Amino acid sequence: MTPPTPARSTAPSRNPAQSPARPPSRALSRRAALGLAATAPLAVVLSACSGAEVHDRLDSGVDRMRAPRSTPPAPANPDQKLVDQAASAIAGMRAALLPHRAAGAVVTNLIALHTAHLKALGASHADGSAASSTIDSVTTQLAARERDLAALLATKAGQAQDGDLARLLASMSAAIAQRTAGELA
Amino acid sequence: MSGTLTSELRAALATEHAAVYLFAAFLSRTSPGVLADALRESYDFHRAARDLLAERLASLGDTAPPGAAPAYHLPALGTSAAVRSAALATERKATVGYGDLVAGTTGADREQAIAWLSATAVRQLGFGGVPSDLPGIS
Repeated sequence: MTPPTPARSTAPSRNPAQSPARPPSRALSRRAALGLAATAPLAVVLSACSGAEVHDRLDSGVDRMRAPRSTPPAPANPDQKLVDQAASAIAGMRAALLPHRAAGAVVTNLIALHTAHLKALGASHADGSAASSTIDSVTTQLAARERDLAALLATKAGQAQDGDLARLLASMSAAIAQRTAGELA
Repeated sequence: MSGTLTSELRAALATEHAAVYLFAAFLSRTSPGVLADALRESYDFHRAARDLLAERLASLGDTAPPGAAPAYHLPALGTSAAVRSAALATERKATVGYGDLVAGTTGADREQAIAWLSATAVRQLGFGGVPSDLPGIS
């Protein structure tokens, strides 16, 4: 299918923002839960018998407890590289704007937008290098650079394996499109 | 025919049927001018999207895609402001629907939905909408 009338150039749930950053406490609590799951049946069995039976069962239980108990590593997020690339691009744009926040509301609004997007990606502290930082280049090329960023995010949205991440990236792209069509037009 | 894909496309088509009906109604109550031009743009967009979705479903072998309802709920449209507000609400709903379509599709279908989401988010501005951080989501 092809778009009806609009150009593609300005192109954006399970919460995808949770994918990039998993809380460490989740891993700990899961391990604790697995430990409980492994020992609870043993406790039930021990409470239901006595003497040699207990000893035999205890040996059996000890053997079982010696089995590998480590939690299998979580599978790698297939979208992590894509998230990192998107975050880096957003952070780069934000870094280019930061020195010029006094230039006006347009710039400060864009900084706030990019900051919100980085947070949504779980990448609040992502590093981004500003390609240029002179006030002239920022103001005269701002709309074009923001459009490039919107296009990049739209491309990444098309590539994401996770549907909700795709929606998030597409929405970010649309948010920038609103700025380039409005404040930056 | 993928059941999930078909259901996503059907939901989007149902939304387009409603949007086409509503924008036609909005247009009929608006004098020529800037607002009418914006309404016409939205009407044309949603008609095209509706037709593309119907074609796509047909290509997937869907022989009974959802049709238009006999009528849809029309809000009070006594003033230009009311029409503008209703149009904005309709575009916002469409934007959310396109977000769902992005999430539920892949490949060319998703690329289409991405473009539609962006274009519809931008059209909201013509009806008094303000830019948001995540159109279609928040």
